[in-house]
Amino acid sequence: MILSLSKKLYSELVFRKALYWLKSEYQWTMEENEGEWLIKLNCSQEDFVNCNYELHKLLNDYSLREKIDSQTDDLKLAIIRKALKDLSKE
Amino acid sequence: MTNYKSLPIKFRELKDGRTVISNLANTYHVLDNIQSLRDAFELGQCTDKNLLNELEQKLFITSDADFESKVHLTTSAFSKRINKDLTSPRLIMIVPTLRCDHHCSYCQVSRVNADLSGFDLQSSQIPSLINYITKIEKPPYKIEFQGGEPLLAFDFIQTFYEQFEIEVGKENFNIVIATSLSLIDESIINWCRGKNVGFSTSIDAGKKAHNKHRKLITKDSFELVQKNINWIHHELGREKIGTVTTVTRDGLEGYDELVDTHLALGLIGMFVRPVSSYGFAEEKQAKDISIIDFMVFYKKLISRILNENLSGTPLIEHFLLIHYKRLLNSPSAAYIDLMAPAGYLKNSILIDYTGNVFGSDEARMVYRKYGADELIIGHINNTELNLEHSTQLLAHSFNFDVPGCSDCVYQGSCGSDPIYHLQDFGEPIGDKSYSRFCELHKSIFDFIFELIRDQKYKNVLDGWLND
Repeated sequence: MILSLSKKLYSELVFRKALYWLKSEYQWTMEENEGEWLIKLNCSQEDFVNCNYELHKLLNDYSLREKIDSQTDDLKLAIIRKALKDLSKE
Repeated sequence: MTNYKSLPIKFRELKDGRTVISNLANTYHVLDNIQSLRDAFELGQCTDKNLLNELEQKLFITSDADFESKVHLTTSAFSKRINKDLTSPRLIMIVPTLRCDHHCSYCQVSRVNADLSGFDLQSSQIPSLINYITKIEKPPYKIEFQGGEPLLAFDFIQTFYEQFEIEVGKENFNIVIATSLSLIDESIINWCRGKNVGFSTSIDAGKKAHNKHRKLITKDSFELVQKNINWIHHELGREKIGTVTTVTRDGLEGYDELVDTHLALGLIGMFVRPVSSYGFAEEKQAKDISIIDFMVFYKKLISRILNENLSGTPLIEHFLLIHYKRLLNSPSAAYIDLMAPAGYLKNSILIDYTGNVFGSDEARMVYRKYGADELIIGHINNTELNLEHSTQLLAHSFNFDVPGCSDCVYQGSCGSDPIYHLQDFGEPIGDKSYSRFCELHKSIFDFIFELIRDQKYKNVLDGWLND
């Protein structure tokens, strides 16, 4: 069975992070075409429904992280760099 | 404050819908739901003044005017936290013998029979051992004798103590002997009087599980450990003995019996964790108990313990307490498994019966099973260290830029275990979505937020901080 998701909805990073945490019982392979991410699942219809639900929950979670982080990512990196620089002087 | 800027945060939605947030300063806050998170951090539309004030105090948001000072405070707190994990004292473990009178089903090091020769550190090596320890570490020294069963090499421990005391002074060291206590006798008790020596022993969850897994020919390991804990209490003092509990599938129903056993012995502390998957325990037991199984057991255990405390019976569970301390940035929250960069090598070393030196007890377990020579970092006869491989392991153990950890709300309180991941995944970072280490510690942190929602339980945990 194939789950297709529009590339306009989720970035590749969000997509890959969500797949990272997908339960191990769902065996998947990933492909893409011009406009979509395609997840091929080797499972029953019931598992497909569950997997679809879980993957969308994860995508939603990582999409929100991406939005929030986009406002502060540069600052986070600057803080970490400064802290490590200070530590290396001690 | 209605106009504010967000500072970097991480978040995690709990099972009850509440959402935990944390930041680089490792402060935490629990929001009522995910919508509160969206309002405050995605949309910038939060108007709850009390909440905004609290978020500002905890360095989650800032006004324009305070931006620089809040960033400075965050940087300083982040730096301080890493520095604390870098500079905590180092535990020095010594394996005087690999021989053991027990034959535990989950033994991680594949002990050998008590009558075998060739598995002991020789007393003639003690001067080299002391020379090595004093070269690599500063006082006060924390020494732990591991095994095998260290009491089978008690002569070695005595000689070491006497020579070490002359070398560094009695006030500069402390020794713990990790033992089943089955071999303790009057001469050992008498020798320990007035010395900086304590014991750490094992009580598993219930008599049945204990005697099944901690096998003695006499089949009375559980009875012996109870008798001898009482003996140590009576002769040396209650503070001279601590317990560790290893939970296996056979102990999953033993939570009440475990508490009853500790209370009957007058013990006021326990340390409970699932059987670990290191070394030879990997195939034998660890895969037989999932973290989900363990957490079902653990929640029942902690519920009983907290209610004992509320009824006036003091009893502390230290595995939970150490996680709570890590969430609170407590100064005494040093625990080797929960450090990033990892506690491996910088906060622990182990010298085994051959004189080989390892960066942790787990490293020698993995070495014993797989013969990974690169885990040997030196030998007591030679103060040169082979740190090439270990440096690589440590370099991969900062968790803020590791896949699976970089987005985790518990990143600042959790740790990194390169040896576990090296064993299970063949490299030090591993895949956290399959990692027992990740699942265990994340479950415990989640559980704490579940617990402290109830003020009466939070009060008990806060009380433990002062003990």
